[in-house]
Amino acid sequence: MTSKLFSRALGDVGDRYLEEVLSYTPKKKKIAWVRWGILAACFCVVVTGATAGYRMISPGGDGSIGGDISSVYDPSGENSGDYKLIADENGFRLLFDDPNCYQIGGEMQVIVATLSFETMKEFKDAVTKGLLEDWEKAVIVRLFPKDATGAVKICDFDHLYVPKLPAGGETTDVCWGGETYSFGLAWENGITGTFHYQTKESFDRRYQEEYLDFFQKDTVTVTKTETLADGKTVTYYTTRAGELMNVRYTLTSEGQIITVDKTFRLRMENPELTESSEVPSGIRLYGTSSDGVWYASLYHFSAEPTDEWLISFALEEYTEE
Amino acid sequence: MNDEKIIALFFERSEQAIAELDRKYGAACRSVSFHILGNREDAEECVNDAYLGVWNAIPPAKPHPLLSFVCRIVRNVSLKRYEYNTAVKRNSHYDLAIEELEDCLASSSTVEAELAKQELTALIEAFLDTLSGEDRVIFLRRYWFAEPYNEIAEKVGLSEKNVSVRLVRIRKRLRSYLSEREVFV
Repeated sequence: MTSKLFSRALGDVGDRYLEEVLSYTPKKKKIAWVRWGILAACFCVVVTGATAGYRMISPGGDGSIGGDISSVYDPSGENSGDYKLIADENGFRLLFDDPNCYQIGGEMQVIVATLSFETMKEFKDAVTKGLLEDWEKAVIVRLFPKDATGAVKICDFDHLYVPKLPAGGETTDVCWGGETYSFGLAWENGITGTFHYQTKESFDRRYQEEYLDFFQKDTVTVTKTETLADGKTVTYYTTRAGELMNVRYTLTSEGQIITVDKTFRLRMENPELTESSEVPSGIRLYGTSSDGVWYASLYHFSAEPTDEWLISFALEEYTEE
Repeated sequence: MNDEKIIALFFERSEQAIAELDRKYGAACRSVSFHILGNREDAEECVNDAYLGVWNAIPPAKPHPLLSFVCRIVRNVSLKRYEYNTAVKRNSHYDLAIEELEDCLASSSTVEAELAKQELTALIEAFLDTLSGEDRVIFLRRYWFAEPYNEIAEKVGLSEKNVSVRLVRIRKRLRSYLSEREVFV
């Protein structure tokens, strides 16, 4: 069992070693044949794209997306992208002409798994107009999920969505992780949260694990469950954190269904945590509509929000003003 | 959201800290866990358990950088799950990575008794310091993160074959390094 001991001991090596791994950028090794290889690859992509009916979007042009385009970017243009956004029956993907190029990137001090933008416009422009910085491309190449061909799986840039929020709410940032993206949320009265636009697959997985299977977890012990006259299900349960209460029900409005999942802290082991059976410590909303699926996590309530407030959440297509 | 703000949320005991941590580092954490477990569902659960671990650790901990702190917790939780899962079967990247090490760690049943884990960690660190930066990254990506050769090759800009050869050489050096220190004789 020496390898197990070794693995355990290796697991304890200092942070500096992990930092080195996580921020490592290989030396650029570019030789002549690679350039020719890139040119050949570009040629292949164009031919394949044209024959297979790909819709290829080349960032750096006029930024428009849609239509049947097969184009190759102009590498001499300032800020021009060196990748294509591809849409076909296999979904939306981002294909770098030379992914190895961004193995070098710039100096990457902290490697992140998502890219953050201040606004939806900044996010869309960065990707579709080729304004991504080198280190951001390096994050995409290294960490975003890819398909079997090595192309990065991305969301549909023809139809981007933003949250429609109850009065006073605003998005604080956009985080992009490939096929999914999320928003930071804030209201003047202190409520904060996150809103996630999801693929159906990732939504279903989350819904199954964090909603349907939640009370089956080893760490959760249900003490009482009751169904109220208005159809709400109330579950009392304990975890290592203390005693909690969960209230679940659905809301329907304007073609969308929202599943509401409220958590109340009744008695907490940690005295710093506020206890209340009136004000939820957190609310999770799962929304499904013809536009797609989403979920939101909301925190920092000073009073229990009304159902009218909760049903105001929706998904709406992003349009540039 | 930057790491300082996320840590501040943990200090405020705000559950949004978990949501923000997941937004920023969720994919990286799932990747670490998946490479060890080879199962997406188990990886998801381990990452959630790791978040609970982070919640319990901060405060008082104020880790910098946050990502390596979280990765370490994810790895520990995933290894525990791995040991539980693989009492009967062996099938993950971690299995393959660890089997490679068996050869260079000679069979010594007394090692656990003779050498405290901390001492071994110190020896490993000293060994890592003898490697070039590139070799150190390859070694740790293989044996800390349990990544397969093709992924390591992609991340360090080498061919898969090249990575394989480098690892054989590093393991050989490790064997002689440990032998010289009478760790495994």
